[in-house]
Amino acid sequence: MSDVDGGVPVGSYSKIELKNFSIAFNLEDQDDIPNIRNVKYKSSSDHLCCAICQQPFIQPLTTVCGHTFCKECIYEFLKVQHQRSSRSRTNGSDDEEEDSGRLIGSCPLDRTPLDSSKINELFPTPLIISNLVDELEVYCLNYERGCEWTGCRWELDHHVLSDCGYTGVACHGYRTVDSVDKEENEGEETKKQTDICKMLVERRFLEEPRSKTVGDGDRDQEEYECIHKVYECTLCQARITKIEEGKHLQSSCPYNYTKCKLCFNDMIPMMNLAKHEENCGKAGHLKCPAHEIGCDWVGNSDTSLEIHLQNNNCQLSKLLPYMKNLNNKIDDLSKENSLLHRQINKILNSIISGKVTNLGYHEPMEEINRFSSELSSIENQDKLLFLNCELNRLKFELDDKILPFVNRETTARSDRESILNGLVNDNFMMKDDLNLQRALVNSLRKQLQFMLFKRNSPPGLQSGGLGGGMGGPIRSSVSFAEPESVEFFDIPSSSNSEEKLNLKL
Amino acid sequence: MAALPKRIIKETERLVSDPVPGITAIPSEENLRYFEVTIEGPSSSPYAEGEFKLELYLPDDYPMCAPKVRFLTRIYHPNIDKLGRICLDVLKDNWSPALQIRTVLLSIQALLGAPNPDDPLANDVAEDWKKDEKRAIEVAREWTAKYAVKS
Ligand SMILES: [Zn+2]
Ligand SMILES: [Zn+2]
Ligand SMILES: [Zn+2]
Ligand SMILES: [Zn+2]
Ligand SMILES: [Zn+2]
Ligand SMILES: [Zn+2]
Ligand SMILES: [Zn+2]
Repeated sequence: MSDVDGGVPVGSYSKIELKNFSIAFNLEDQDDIPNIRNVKYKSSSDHLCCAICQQPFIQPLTTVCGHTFCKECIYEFLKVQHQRSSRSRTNGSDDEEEDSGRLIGSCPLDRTPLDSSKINELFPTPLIISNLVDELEVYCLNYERGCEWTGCRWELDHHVLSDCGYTGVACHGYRTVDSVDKEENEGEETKKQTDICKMLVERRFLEEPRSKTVGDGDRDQEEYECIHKVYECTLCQARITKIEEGKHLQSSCPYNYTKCKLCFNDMIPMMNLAKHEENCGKAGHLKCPAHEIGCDWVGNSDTSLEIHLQNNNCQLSKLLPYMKNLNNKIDDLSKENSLLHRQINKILNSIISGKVTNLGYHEPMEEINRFSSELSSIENQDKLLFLNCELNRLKFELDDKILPFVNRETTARSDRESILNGLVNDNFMMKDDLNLQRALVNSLRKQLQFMLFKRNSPPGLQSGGLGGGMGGPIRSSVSFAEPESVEFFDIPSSSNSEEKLNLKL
Repeated sequence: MAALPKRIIKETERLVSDPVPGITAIPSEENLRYFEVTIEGPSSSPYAEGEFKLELYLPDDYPMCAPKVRFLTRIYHPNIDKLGRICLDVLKDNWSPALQIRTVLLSIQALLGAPNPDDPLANDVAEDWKKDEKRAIEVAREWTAKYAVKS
């Protein structure tokens, strides 16, 4: 490994540049925010697309004629129309309305006149629509760099800003440069000089700074060594950087050995493992299909595997479908649970930040804060905790049932059969449990809806029961008359905020 | 406005994957905002059997402003002038960003089927048309046979 191969000498710094795809996100400045317009949708519906940009709505506004557009799009068009019409009447007397920010134009779909300053002609879309678009599934902005994340559109900001390992960030590491190599300043000692690396790098390559309590500046600098520094692989002496290390060990280091699980050969380079396992399989080394749930049977031929699977020799393989089913259900429930959790938090955030008050909500801020803390602290927090416990309990139960069973693999067959029956019964019970949980989640959802309604009704009516609370202050008398028939969707637009909150759930 | 090219991509994809019968629109390779268009004359019009070449350009502020469309093939029509410019409301004041390339091209095809000499652009053609419609239609048919030959 001399300089013949033209590699970068050890100790210097490589110039690996971050691949910049068209929509990939780089956090160069603290204020950089992802452009949601760039996002790639996993699914979408034409009904949720703006007629102007033909993409799912972003901050949608609805017109008096019932059409919905992105805020940016409709304002842009009104501006163009406004400029055109004011240009055509420049010879007339100057209007005072110039520069008041008021835009006058018409709806792109049916030419209904629109005046942006009139809140009843152009107003925020009912929350149900903005929630539907916010919940559309999107890919990560960095998917071209390899991020496999997908999620709701409203989660995207948080993901790329703080979680995504593929977001480009500045390296920030210190580079140590021998001052002799630099322009020779007279009188300079052989002391090393430091520079800050400013190259962009994917966040996943940056190490967490090792926490040192020393407040000494020089020490701190050493902790953040630039990850572009070239060093020798301890196994094969190839010149690599921290950025390439993982890939190198995985796919090009000839001396990074690992052990084949089929033939127990422990001298297989990682880079050849997949190929080796394939050959191993062809040569008759087989795993039991139930190896995922603990069967460590390894055999030499298809026939031996058949024998293993026949005659109830492998009880675990029979459990496989059940296990998968249960695991899926548990996953679904935990997902649903965490989604509900985040939705509650989102609602609370929007309540607290006053987003809802802008839409016609008429209670003082203190009231809202009081309510939100009440809401999060008492009942719902309990419910969520309970759900979490329940999930954990189910997981433990599964473990309890399965693990002893694995240990008893060697006991008599009749014994196994009875256990199997017991397990099947347990599975049914767990299914019931899961349904129960689903019902709990639903009731939580309903309770939250109810609480949000209740919050908006005047204090006098709160004791008046469900019907009065749901009708809202304006239509409370009607609601009292026929409390059962009050539908969420029937609430008139004057009580917009309630409607929005309810439909959100 | 950075996102609006995404709309152009979407429209182009759809024009290619789901073309309008009798109309083709092919984006130029160097400039994706420039399209080479052909429109077949409507069967019941003097332009039947003709294939007209047009150029379509999406200005920077598209879709806030209408695409620029011009006939390249010579055509005898009261609403199309010698330079191929088209007098069509949706290409001017009645443009709406909810319209698309395909709707514009369909409107142009419809204009071939229903000339409107009362809203003229090429004044002399419109005059002829009003004076002697039968004769004008005859000329339009002759021009179509002469210039708009299918390639
Ligand atoms: Zn409208
Ligand atoms: Zn839009
Ligand atoms: Zn990501
Ligand atoms: Zn660096
Ligand atoms: Zn190596
Ligand atoms: Zn092997
Ligand atoms: Zn097995």
